[in-house]
Amino acid sequence: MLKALLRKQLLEIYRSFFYDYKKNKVRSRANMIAFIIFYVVLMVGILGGSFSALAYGLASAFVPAGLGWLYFDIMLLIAIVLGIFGTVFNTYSSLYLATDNDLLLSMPIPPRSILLARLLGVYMMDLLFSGVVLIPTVIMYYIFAPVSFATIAGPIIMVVLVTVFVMVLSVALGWVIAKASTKFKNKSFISVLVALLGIGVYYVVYFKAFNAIEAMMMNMQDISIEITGFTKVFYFIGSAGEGKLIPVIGMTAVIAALTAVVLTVLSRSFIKIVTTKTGNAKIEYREKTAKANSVRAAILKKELARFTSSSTYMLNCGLGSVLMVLAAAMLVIKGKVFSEALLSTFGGMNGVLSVMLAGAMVFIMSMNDSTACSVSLEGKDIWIYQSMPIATSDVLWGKFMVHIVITLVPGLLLAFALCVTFGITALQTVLVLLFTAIACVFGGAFGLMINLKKPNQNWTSEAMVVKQSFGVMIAMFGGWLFGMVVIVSGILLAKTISATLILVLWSIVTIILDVLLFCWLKTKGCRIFQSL
Amino acid sequence: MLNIKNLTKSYGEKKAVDDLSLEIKNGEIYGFIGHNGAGKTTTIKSVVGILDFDEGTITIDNTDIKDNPIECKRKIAYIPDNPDLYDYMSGIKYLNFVCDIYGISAQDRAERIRKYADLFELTQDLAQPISAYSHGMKQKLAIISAWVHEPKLIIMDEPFVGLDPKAAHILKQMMRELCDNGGAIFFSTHVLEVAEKLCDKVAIIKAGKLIKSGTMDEVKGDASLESVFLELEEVDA
Repeated sequence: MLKALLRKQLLEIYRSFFYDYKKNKVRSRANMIAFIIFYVVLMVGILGGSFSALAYGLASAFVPAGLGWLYFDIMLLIAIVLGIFGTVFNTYSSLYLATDNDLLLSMPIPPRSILLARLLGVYMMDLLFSGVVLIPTVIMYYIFAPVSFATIAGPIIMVVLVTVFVMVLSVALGWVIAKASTKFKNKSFISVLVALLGIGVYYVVYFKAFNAIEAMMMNMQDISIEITGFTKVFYFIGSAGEGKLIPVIGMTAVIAALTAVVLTVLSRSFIKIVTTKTGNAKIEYREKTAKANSVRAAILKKELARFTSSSTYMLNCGLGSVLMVLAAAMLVIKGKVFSEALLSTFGGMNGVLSVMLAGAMVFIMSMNDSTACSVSLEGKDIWIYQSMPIATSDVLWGKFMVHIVITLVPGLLLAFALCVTFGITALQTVLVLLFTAIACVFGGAFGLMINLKKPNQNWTSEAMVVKQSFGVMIAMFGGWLFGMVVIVSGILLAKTISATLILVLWSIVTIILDVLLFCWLKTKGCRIFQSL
Repeated sequence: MLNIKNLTKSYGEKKAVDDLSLEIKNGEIYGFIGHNGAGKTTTIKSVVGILDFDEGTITIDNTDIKDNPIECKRKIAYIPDNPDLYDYMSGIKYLNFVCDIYGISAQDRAERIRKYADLFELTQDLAQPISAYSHGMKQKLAIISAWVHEPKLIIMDEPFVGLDPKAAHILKQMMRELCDNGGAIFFSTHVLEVAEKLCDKVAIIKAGKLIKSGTMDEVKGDASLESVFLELEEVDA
């Protein structure tokens, strides 16, 4: 039974590799292979590649010096942060909001089995994100560590332990959100708040741990002589990665105990949470005169209602807005510290700092990818739009505008704060702001195009399209890549042309891309939407 | 009002609808019956402009659905076989959204929503999120949203599924009233007794082909619709 459930869960997660939703048929073998290769290149090549370089640098310095444990500590911290980023926002919806929960609960299946199958989905996602750090970590360790059973088995055991740990943390937070959402009326906002608080706690712990490791690195000589106090904890954790027996047993025991506790609590409360239709009292209807809206205003209102109705959607596709506002506030408060640190690092690049800031803005704004799953999220409700007397371009416009509404103002705010903090000239500040706005338009239109190219209307959990979909990944990584290209262009062209000219050129290029994207959306994009 | 000529729609090699022609005039309630997978939903989805078809023409009030889909959709309302509505909206927000799209004034919509919600005893639940609605309540909301913009033609796929007897009775009355006022209704059903009592005309479809159509008397004569339907199914089997 569990096997059948696990197969169903895996099929849901990986169906897009084998099935073309747009054409509603199984992919050809060549198409399937090309799709998988593209995905692997994206995850392993782009993300894994950058972590491989980091792992290589650290392993070559630390492992031969007998500080393999410190190498593992650093890499594991990064893996945990990335793994949590990849899973934490969707555990709640994956576990508790799956549309087939009722169906499965009506079958003679123990809730524990349903829970385990759902956890597999969370674990796979966690493995995908943590894996891009952990796999290079293990490979680089093998290159520099002496060969023995312990040094071979240790890293593998560590990978399992860390990914399970990340899953347990995410699931625990998902449970807190689920409990909270059964008590409150505005459950999506409460869920967002609880999730953000949880993330805040994780990141405080992360920064404290990283600072502690940094302090240790500054005093490496002393550590090699004496490992005491707080350092002992890090030594213990890192040594498990090196395959030292007692740390491996200790870590296994701690994580197994933690997993057992969380799973017990979860399986006991699973049915109750899933079947509780929120603890709200019935809302009394009082007739009010409604204001008539134009078609576009009605569509935008509907799209915004869709966005704010789901904590999963808001957290995964709108978190960038919160971070941009927080970052802008931080710059206002501690701008001097940041500018001094950055200017000392990029001392020679002062002339093109504005280009680098513009690139950074693209990078940050691509965290907001609401359009990249907005078509898929229509799901079975898509008949409503399709049967209404509205131009499909208006529907796509509504989806695009949600991106603009949530991203443009925070983006401009942060861009302005960055320019002021780093003393960018007035002309270049205007250009950075202009480019930010144009790039924001690009992000929204690009996400929409990707989702129309790779739609999925048949999901059982929103998380499948919001977090695990190919389109969202492409939109996010595509944005990162675009941002990187802008930054690199600034560095490469620094001595040839002025930053002002680079910004003007990038603005023109991005406007052209925007126009091309809009032409595609208006023609082919509309046809695809209508045929879904 | 609705004219379907030589409609053909294939899914790969399989013809879901094969050269189907029908005409629904103003004032008619037209029933569409056939076994599961016969091609009813494909025909209906083609008529409402959700599904692109391969051959033939569909005109609504003399406007071609392919040439001018928006103009056609303005004249019709569609209720699908499963009332998947926006779960994240309240009932009233959904109705206001529909009214905004069809350009219904604030005053008209208030009157109509009050009238139909009271009829279906849904008024007290209008502020509730649709996610909290039962299947029957969603079906009632879908019906209200179809009637609220006063379309000339209503196309429904299995509209009685999930409705309680009282709501089903009200729906039948509303269908008759709309057609008496010059509108038209085209709907599919498996409930042959309902079709027999309610419809002015009926069409029977099998494996994508229209096997019989016309007035109720022309199709069934003195026999019951059920016996005619079963007989036709067996003859062609």
